[in-house]
Amino acid sequence: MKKRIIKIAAFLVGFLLINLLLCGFMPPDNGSSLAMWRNYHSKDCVDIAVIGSSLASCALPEEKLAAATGKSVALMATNSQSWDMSKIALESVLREHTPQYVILVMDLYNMTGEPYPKAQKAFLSAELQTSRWQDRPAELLRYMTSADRFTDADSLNALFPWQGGNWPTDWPATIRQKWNALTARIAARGAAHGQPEGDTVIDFDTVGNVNTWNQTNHPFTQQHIDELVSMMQLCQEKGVPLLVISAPKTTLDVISYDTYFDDYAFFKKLAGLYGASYYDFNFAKQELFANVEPDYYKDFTHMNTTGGNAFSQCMAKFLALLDEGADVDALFETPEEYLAAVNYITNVYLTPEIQTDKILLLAGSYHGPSVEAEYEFWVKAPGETEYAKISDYDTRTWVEYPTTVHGSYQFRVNARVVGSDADFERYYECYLDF
Amino acid sequence: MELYSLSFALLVTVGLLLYYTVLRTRQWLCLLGLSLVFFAASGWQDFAFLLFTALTVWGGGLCLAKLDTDAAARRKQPGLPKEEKKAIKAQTTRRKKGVLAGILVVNFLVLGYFKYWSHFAALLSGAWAASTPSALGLVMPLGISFYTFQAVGYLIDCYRGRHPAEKNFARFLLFISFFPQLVQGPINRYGELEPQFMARHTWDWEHTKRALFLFAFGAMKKYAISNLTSPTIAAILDVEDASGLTGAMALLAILLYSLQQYADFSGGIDMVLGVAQLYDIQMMPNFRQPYFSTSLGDFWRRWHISLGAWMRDYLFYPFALTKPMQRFGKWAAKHGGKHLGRVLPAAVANLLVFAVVGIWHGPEIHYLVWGLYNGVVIALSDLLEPAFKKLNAALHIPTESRAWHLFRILRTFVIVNIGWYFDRNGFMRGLLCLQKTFTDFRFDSLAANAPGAFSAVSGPAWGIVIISTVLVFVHSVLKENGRDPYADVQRLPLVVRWALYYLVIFLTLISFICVTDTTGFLYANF
Repeated sequence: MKKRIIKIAAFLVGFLLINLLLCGFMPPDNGSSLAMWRNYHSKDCVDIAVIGSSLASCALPEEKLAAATGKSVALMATNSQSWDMSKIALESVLREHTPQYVILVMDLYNMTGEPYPKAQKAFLSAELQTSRWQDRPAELLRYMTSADRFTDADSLNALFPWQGGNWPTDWPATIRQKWNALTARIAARGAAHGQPEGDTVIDFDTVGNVNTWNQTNHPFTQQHIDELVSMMQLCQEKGVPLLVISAPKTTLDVISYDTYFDDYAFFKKLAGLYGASYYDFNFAKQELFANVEPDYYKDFTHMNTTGGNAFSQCMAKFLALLDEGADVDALFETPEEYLAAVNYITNVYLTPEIQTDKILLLAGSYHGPSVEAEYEFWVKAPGETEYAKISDYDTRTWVEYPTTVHGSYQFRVNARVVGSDADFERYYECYLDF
Repeated sequence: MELYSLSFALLVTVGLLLYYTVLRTRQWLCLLGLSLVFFAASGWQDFAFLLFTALTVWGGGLCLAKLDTDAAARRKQPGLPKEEKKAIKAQTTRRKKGVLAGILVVNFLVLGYFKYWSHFAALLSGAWAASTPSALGLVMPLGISFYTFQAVGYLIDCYRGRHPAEKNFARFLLFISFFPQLVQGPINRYGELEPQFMARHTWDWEHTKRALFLFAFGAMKKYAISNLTSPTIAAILDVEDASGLTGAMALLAILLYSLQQYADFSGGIDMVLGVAQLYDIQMMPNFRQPYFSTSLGDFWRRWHISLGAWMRDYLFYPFALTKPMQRFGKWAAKHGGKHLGRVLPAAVANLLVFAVVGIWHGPEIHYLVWGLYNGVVIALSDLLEPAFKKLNAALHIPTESRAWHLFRILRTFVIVNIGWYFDRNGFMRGLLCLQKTFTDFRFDSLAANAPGAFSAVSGPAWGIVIISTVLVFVHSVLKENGRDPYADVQRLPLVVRWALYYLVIFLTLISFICVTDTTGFLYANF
């Protein structure tokens, strides 16, 4: 019997050693999660928790919001953080602290994107890795026995954190990377943000037809709605005010999103049903937040450092008003008012299509409903150094460019509001090999 | 509750502790409790349907027994004329048939409602849609196909007098709800399970090791082979427009499906057999190296054995031995000779059996086609057997040689895989893929398209699949040669043995990093 027990113990030790080896060899897939959780676990008190994806970390940088509000802020946001990961973050903060506010920053990808279990696993293992030693068994057990995992493979796989990593394609490099990560680990303490702050400013004339609507899968899935509702219910049960917000984004991103205003109404209603509040700061009036485009944005949806700073100030003011019991709804425009103010072209795009003996140029632009745009097409043919005009300004959105000369073409479309006498208000250039 | 989950591990572990200690004098009650907990985890609503089947079949068994007892008592009355005794016997038989038919019909109606009604309601219009299980908020009860077939088998055996009816309802409930068999079978027999449930079992370390080995090996088949091949098969076959699919790619997908299907089903069965063995219960084996079969008939005696045996005992023979079929046999013998008289009724019965097997898989036409394809091939091979023998003799084929044996295995493998085209795909797509395999087979398309399909899984997925498949192959070869792979492993030096254990376990664990999501067992859907 004694010999058998020793053999079983030796077998288990071997098993654990292989696990440790695998933990060492799997490159970490949770860098930003680790930093976020490490930062969170270093806090003794959390007054305001900001949860979400990179939209949250860009719009409400932790230090800026903490400075503006004078409160302890926990930014629990990482790149591409899905609702299920946000829920883990929310559960943690509600379990361990009693925040005055939870701010959940809406990312429309969260409502439509495919769940990515591996990312969730990496997110969770980062939480476990960074929590106190004595808390880890309880946290692991809580995860393994949670209602949505207890009966599936994730419950047991939580014991193997290396499954959240990637299989190394270059073993020597992996070993070096792990070694460097180990030595740099202490130095990395305190780094909080998944999305680095940036000083870049968006150039609307280079964006083209890129926006959230084009990049999401519509419509919202029931699973995502349920996840959002469960977070609202969680806050409601705990009696913690939940502010679901849409952080400011470029006007382009709002008006190019086909169902934006329907979705706004949907979120507003949903939040109302579960004791939360929904505010879209794109509709904020000037006195609350002056949205400066392009200066506040590094791309069509993320704020840059300046924008994040300005919005943190706005949020501090907003929370103070909420504390005072002010009528904050009056600080927001209606969708109609918002649209009426977009009396300009936000950007223009151009899509060339090759046909047998010609190139079809299809243009388009985003603008408010009161605006009609007109387009002027230009070409820089192979070997040419200057643009030649293909067609004068016209409201027609396409033009055919007949050619049989093969080579690299550069096209440009200028756009302006009908009635304007400007050379152009927006333009876009693209290349095509014919 | 998945077999690879903390909840299942806890259920089994706590169950084992109770089973071999405090409940060692009431072990069957322990198993019943565990089974009900396992079943309840999938929803109490399901329990109502399980209870319905259990009550009707158990009551039916008792009713049949009572009819027999009453008839025997009446016939034993002194001075009863022979005709009267015959009349009592005939009356009892009629009543028993009525009871049996009634109970079979209601149980198959419940099963049919869950398995087929949604399909037919979709074909019918309007109001019927409201009557589907999903419209009524019902989901298919866990293991309904398997426990219904098992219960029906019990009742038919009661009717035939193969075993006495179970008087204790709780014991009968355990027989049809025994938790390892609920997910995907096997379809066990009362006569084999009941004595084991009632026997006293003592814990044995060697049994436990063997059971854990079986479980781990099954898990490797499921997670390291089936789950890792499934995304690639889907990437090839589940494209919106299959017209661009080349024959080579279709064949690749079907060969992978062949592997996936076997690994999934036999892996799952190994896991549940292992769990049952932890409790010292031996369930019916469901696979015997099917890809080493030398004919399609042989294949079906090695693949899903418990379903094949069920069909043989409760459908094939009862149908083949009916009076019209016997008359048909005599007619065939008279007009076509002795061989035809023997084989033709069996061929017709086979067609019926395989049509039912096809429909058992689902109401879609491609399952029926797949079933009938198997039935037709088996019927033809039986009918043409004398011709094949003559041909072999004429060509001087050494039918006892190893080469001929290997040829037959390969031939059967090809025939089975042709059937998989219709099992995996809808009818038209299956037909298209099969046609392209023969008419548009281009190796260059493999080089162009296969890497893309293989990238449906990431990391070391294909390395894991290859190593695991080699292990399964070696295991199968050993078993086919009458060896006991577990015993062979035990004879290896400790270091090699443990290295093998670790390999099997970590192939399974590493497989999880190669896929974004795991899928359930294929046969759990049936």
